[in-house]
Amino acid sequence: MKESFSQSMDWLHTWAGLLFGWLLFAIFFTGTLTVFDQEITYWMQPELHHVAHTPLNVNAAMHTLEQLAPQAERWWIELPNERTPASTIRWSQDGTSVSRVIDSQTGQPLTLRNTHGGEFFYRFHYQLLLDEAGTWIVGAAAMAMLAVLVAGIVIHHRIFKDFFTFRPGASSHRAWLDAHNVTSVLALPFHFMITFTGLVIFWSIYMPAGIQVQYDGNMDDFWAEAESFIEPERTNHKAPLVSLRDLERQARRYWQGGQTRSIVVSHPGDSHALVHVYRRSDDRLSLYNDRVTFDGTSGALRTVWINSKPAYMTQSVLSGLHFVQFGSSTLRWLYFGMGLAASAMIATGLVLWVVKRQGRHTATNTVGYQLVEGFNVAAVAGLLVATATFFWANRLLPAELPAREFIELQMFFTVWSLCLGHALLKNFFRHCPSVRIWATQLAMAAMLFGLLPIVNAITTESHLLHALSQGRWEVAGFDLSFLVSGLGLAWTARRLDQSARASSRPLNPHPVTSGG
Amino acid sequence: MASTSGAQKVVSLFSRARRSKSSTTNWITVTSRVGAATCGGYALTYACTAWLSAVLPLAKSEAVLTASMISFVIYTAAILWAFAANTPMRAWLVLLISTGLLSGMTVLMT
Repeated sequence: MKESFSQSMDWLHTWAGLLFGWLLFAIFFTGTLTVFDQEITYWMQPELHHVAHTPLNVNAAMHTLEQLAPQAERWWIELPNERTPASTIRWSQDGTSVSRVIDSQTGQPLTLRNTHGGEFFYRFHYQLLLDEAGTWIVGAAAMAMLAVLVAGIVIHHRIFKDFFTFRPGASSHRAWLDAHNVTSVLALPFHFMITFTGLVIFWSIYMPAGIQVQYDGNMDDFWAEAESFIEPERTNHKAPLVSLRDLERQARRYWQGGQTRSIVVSHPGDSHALVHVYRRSDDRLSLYNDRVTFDGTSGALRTVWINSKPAYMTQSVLSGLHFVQFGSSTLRWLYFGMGLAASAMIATGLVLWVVKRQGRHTATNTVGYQLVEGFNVAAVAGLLVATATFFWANRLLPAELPAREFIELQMFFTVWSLCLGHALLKNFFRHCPSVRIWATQLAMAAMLFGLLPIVNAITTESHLLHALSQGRWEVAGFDLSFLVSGLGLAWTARRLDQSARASSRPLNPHPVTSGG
Repeated sequence: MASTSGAQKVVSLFSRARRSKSSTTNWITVTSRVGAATCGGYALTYACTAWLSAVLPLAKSEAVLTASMISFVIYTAAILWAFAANTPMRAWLVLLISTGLLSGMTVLMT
């Protein structure tokens, strides 16, 4: 391997990029959708679409929690915001947590279809639904991403010039290389930022060395010092809670106009109950924000914690940059676009690996090459098909169906596996050129996305024209995005199909598209 | 690899990938280097983070956070260095010796 620095970096870029590319594409694509997680959840619960935006009646939420979860270890009350009209209550008891969306005025739970909504993409993009094991896998992929990015810069000699170079008409591998370079260089700071901040969010899981040395591995001691966060043990003596509404009002006085994001009650109903009121973080970069803590039974002020320590603030701002809770919907669209650029960078990189080796009989006849071809199609096009299926399932499964949120997920993963099976079988047994399989699956995704507005119009009352005439962009935006994705994918599928037809004459089983 | 024109460079990029593939038939070397980068790199990063957490002249929680945030940069550098090192053995030796030194210094300090 050892020939020169840039050659070893080339090797690293090629192989680490290939090996982690499939996983990284899934992480980046679902992460990109997560930018609009609240909007996706809202869209996937059309029952919410005629709920008006009203401020939360905090005490009504508290009464509902007292009725539903008097024995809980902890309660959460999430206040509504501009992105969603719904308030959510949540409680944890014996290691499980339950949540309900409530009416902001009456505090009564709303009857909504069960769905994981945007939360699914959010959870998947950082732990693949595998809990802490998944967090480690995603962490490994993120480290690989950082190494591959730096290696990519090292091997890329003409970084500025290539920014203005795109030769779609040139030979196939040169066009793919240009596409890879453009999507990489165009948003390079974003690629670094989003990967690095993703790792920094989970520093205490990935790199607990400091906690081991300074706190003997006790995370609670760290939080006690960093956030003045100390919770007493439960006494098991019953004591009524004071009015949460009064405490929430009192807390806001410390924030110079800052609004409340959530109220957390630990040991509700116990004489050691504590009430934490958290400030919203959408008016600032830093994610972890000011907190006011009260004694739950007397209402006495316990702690006013303001995020002010430099290192803590830095970590909090880095996390905030990743979570993008600040700013407006314009900024979220910008993140969405950059996230798509990152996904496209990974996808074109994967394609490039295959295209580079095309026409070499020794390389293309191996099982490994065919596996890569199949995995590429399923990882990129298959994921698009599965995502569209997830939205279809949300609209087509009956709203009252028991465990329908799991069926939505099952359909997502079943369709994704079927796409992988389709790609591998076609490639191995039918010797179908991979361009054809790409075209088929992209056409499938195009059709599924393109028809979603029609499915939506048939199954809900908030169809495109209705939403547009009412100026409800949070609903109409989905239909319009689906249409644009459908058209874009259809165009790509058509182009691939044409190039497959042009290059796969019966006498030429190995398409050589290079012009040079 | 001093190519003159841009086009040649692009071409050489492909041929290089191919040549380096043929020269990495020794999978033991490759595995050893990957091991040095991932495990050796993590060990060094862990030791370095522990040492920085102990030595930075900041409040305890601030030192821990600062060291932990830097750790991901150190790990990236360690991985790249392990791949750039002359031989895998050299990568292992340097990574492990510096890990040992940093751990020793941390133990002495705390």
